[in-house]
Amino acid sequence: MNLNDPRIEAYLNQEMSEADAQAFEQEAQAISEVWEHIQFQQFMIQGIRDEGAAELKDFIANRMTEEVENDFTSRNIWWSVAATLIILAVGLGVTYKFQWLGDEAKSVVAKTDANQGAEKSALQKLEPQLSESKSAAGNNAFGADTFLMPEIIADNEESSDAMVEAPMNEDVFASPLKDDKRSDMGRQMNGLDYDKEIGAVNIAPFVVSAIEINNSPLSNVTSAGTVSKPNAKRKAKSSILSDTIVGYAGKSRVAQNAEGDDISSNSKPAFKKATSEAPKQFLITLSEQPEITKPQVFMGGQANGKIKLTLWNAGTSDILIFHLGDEYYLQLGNDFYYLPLIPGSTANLKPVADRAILEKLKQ
Amino acid sequence: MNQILYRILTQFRRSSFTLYYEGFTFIDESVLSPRAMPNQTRKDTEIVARIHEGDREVLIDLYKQYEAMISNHVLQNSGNEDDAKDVLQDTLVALWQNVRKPHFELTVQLSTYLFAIAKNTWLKQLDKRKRMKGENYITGKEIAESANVGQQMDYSIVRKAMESLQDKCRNILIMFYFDGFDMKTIASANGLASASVAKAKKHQCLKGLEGIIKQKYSASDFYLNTES
Repeated sequence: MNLNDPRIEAYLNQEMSEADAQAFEQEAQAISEVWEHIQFQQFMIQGIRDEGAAELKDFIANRMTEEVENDFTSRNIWWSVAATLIILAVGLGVTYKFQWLGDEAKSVVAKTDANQGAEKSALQKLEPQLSESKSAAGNNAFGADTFLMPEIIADNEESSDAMVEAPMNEDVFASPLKDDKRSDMGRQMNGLDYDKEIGAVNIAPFVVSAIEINNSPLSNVTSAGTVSKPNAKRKAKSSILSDTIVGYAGKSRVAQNAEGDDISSNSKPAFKKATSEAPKQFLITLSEQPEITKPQVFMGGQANGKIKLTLWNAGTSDILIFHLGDEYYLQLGNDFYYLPLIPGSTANLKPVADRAILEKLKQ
Repeated sequence: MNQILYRILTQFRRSSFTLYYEGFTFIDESVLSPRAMPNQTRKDTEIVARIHEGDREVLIDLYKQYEAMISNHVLQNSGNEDDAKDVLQDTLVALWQNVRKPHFELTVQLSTYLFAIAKNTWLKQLDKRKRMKGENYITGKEIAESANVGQQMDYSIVRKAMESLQDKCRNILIMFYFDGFDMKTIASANGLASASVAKAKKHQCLKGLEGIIKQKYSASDFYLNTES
C-alpha cells in the first residue's frame, strides 16, 4: 500500500462497506506514513465540511435577514400607503366639512335673501290691493315702505275702521333671519336682544301676523286668511258666501252677502250670535321649544283689540282658524285641532276627532 | 408522556436505544432514524427532492415554517433568542447534510424529524455548556467514542486555509465533501468540461489546500488546547 492507493480515496469518501473499511483501516494503520496521510486527509475533509456547514448557515442567516428586511420594507410600504390613505381621507373629510359649512352659510344667506325677497314680493303684491281697498276706503295711510299685516278685507265699504295697519310689534313679526340663531345679522335687523326677548325659543319668521275672522252666515265656518292668500280680498269680494274665505267685515255686514243682500233671515242662531259679537282678530306668534313635542297654544290676552296667541311647535306655517258653532278650530298644515281660548293659559292642542266636524272643516 | 414511555419501551425491546434527558423532557433518538414511521406527506417528499437537487432556498422555507416551533423549544429550555437561531440553523444544516447522504430515505414526518434534530442539537449544546462549567462529566460512551479526549482537532485551521484557495477550488471541495454532489453536477456547476475533469480538479484543489495548511501551520496547531 502506498499514498496513491485508490482505496484511500474510497475509504475517505466512505464508499466502502463497513467490513471493507475495517480491513482497510487495519492495513493502513500498519503503515504509519499512509495512516498519517489518511488522518490528515480526514482532518481536511472534516474542515471542509465545517466550512460548508458554516457557509450554509451564513446563507440561511443572510437570506433570513433579507427576508426580514423585505418584510419590514413591505410592511413599511403598506403602513405608508395606509397612513397616506388615512391622511387623504381625513384631509378630504375636513375639506368636505369646511365646504359643507361654507355652502350651508351661503345657503343661509341665500335663504335669508330669498325670504326677504319673497316677503317683499308678497308685500309688493299685496300692496296694490291694499292700496286699492285703502283708496276705496279713502284711507291713504299705507306707505310703500310700510309693513302691512295681511289682513283679509272682505268688504271694503266698512273696512276702514277695521283695517288695521300692521303693528310693528316685534313680538309678533320676526325677520326670517331671526329664525337662524347663527345669524347675527338677523338680530341686528330685528333690533332685538334675541336671547333676552325669547330665550331659547325660535320665533317663526313670517307666517302669521294678524288674522281677523268673522262668522260665515251660511256655512257656519269662519275662516281666517293668511299672508299666503293675498287675493283673499278679491275672493271675499266676489263671494262672501264662499265657504273658505270670509274676510274681515264690519259688525253688521256679516249679515250681508257681497251684493249687500240681507241674509240674516237665513242665518242660524250661531250666525245671529256672531252678528252680535265683535269680529275677532288674532295675533299669532309661532314658537318652538325643543322640550315640547306636541303643539301647544297660549292665549295671552288681547292687544289692540287682537287676541294674542302663541303657538308652540306648530310644525308648519300654514295656519288657518275656523269658527264652527261655538268652537274655534285651528288648522296646522293638514291637521285640525280644537282651539281653546282661555286667557292666560297654555293648553295642548287636542286633535279634532269628530269626523263630521273634520269634513266641514276640510270643505 | 405515555407516548415517550411507549417509544422508550419499544426501543428497549430493540435492545439498543439512546435516551437524552433534559429536565422532564425525554427525547427518543430513534426519531432521528429516518425509518421510524412511513408517515411523511407529499410536501415532505417535495422538500426532500428539492434538497437532493441542491436547492438551498428550501431551507429558507423550512426556517420560516419551523422557526416558531423550534425557537419555543429552545426558549422554554434555558435558551435565548440567539441560541434559538443557532439551533434552527444547525438543524437545517444537519437536515441538508443528512438528506444529501447516499441512500437517505425519509420515513417519518419531516416536522418530527426536524424537531428531533433540533432537540438533540440543543441538548448537545446545553451539555457542552454544562461541561465547560464543570457541571457535567464526560460519559463513558463519549470516552469510548473519542480516542483523543483533550486533543480535539482544530478544524478552523482548514477553514482559514480555504480562504487562500481559489473560489472555484473552494466551491468544488465544498460541493463534493459537504454537499455530496456527484462529479457531473460539480463539473456543470463550475464550468468544467466533464466529471473526470472535475475529479482531477478536486484532487488538485485538495492538494493545494494541504500545501497551504502545511505551509502555514505545524502539527501542534492541529489540536485544540483544551486546558486553556
